[in-house]
Amino acid sequence: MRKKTNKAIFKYAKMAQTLWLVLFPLLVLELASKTKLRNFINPRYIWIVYAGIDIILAIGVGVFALRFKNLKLEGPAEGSAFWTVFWTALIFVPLVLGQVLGNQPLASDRTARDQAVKSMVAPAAKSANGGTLKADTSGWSFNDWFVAVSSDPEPSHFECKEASIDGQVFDFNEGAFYLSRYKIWCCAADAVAVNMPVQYKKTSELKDGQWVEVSGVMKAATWHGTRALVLFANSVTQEKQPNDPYIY
Amino acid sequence: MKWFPRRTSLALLYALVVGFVFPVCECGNVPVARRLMAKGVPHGAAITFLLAAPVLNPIAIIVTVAAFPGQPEILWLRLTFTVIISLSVGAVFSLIRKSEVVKESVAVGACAAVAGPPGGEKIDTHGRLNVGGRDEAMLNDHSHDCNECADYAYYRTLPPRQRGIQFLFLVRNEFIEMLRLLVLGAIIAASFRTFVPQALLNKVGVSQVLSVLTLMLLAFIMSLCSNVDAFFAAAFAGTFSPGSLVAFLVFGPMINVKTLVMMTSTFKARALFWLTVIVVLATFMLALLANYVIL
Repeated sequence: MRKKTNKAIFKYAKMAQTLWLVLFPLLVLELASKTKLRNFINPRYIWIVYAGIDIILAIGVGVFALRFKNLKLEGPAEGSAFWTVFWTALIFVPLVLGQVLGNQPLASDRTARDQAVKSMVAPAAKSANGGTLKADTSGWSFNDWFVAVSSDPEPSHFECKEASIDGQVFDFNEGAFYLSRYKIWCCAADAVAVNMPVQYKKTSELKDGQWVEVSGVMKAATWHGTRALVLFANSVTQEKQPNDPYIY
Repeated sequence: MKWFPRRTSLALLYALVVGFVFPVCECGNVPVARRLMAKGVPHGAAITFLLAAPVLNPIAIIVTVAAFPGQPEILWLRLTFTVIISLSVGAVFSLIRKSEVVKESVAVGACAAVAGPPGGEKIDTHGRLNVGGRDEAMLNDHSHDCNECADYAYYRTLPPRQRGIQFLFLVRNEFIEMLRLLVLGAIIAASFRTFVPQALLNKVGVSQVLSVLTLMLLAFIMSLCSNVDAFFAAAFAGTFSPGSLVAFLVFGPMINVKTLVMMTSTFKARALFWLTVIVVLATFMLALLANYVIL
């Protein structure tokens, strides 16, 4: 009797696992249709996701198709019934949670943002390129600034350059705050909060986590005892969270 | 795999070369290492491959160069330390019997069906398979999709359609086997990342010694893909010591929450414990060497 029950559990667990192989790619495709895959992965690498789900879907559909032909290919019921059910249930956890909770980008999640690494813009690069920047920077995005300062961390090279960038207010004090964005290199697991120091007199009008557009002038200044590039804001205007809160 | 040298020392070096050729990250190489062992590759060499491949592969190298422009020493130390640790650990485990290191399912082939086609000779590939004492009825039952049967001569005797079907089922089984562990590891890593205050880690990471320990702990918790972890480490470049950055880049791809869970499918708990201890100590010592002597 017990052996028979185990066999049934094993059979249905295998079927559920195969069902996962079909469901998962379909849910990913649903996210893709809503352009929400960018919440998880750098758009540059989305093709890898498509390639992966194509393969998974092909395996799932293939195995199901064989089942409909009543091909008996499953092995004997092996191992504990409990663990078979447990492991099978486990792979459904992300699928169920994803459906129940929905997906939300890290930038809108207060807890995740507070846990994130607080890094200045251009945290890594040590090499300096050339001298003072001559390009017009007024149209630069947050990411443009990140890339520029990463390749040339010398603050004085950006002295008096105009900037108009958007992000979230983070860690604000009297007269200063960080303008924060999450940067994704590959997927959301490696997302790092990148913060631009901003000097602004009217911080009392701001709320933590608020999305704003900051316009002002870049200057080399001392920030928490370190020489850094600081945006001296002329205006801070509230704005809605962008559809794509990450920078890539 | 037939080109894998029989001599342990050569096999360990060959594993490094294989690690360079296979562009796998630390998640992908656990099933590869397992399959290598199932095919008869010395377990020491497979462990060297397991530890070295995520860092030695070309993608990880290019990413490290891109993340640390003007700091070539980070790349060289990452590669050198990885080679030293993976070879050392592989050599140490070569001295221990395979049966004490890897699980039985990997060591001898768990499935009775590996015995060969009905009526044919039993296959014993260089002593890797031990089918003695198994149920004769099982030996002749090839109508299943056991994970361990993927590469045995029996499948080569099947007609192409049947082989295609078996291939499909084997891929499904292998995928699900790794998926469940990947999901478990991801749940643990995500929980740590959400609930353990990272600001706390930053505060204790100011000293030469503590910074190494802090970033090793972070690498363990975060379980980042070795192909992108250099970008994440770059964010710490201003505040943490260079040795600790190298420790992050060396230790993370070898041992982290996610891969540790995945490795339980292959290694015995005792072996996995000592493997972890050796890698932790070796990384820590080499990182201190980098902080105090090299950099």
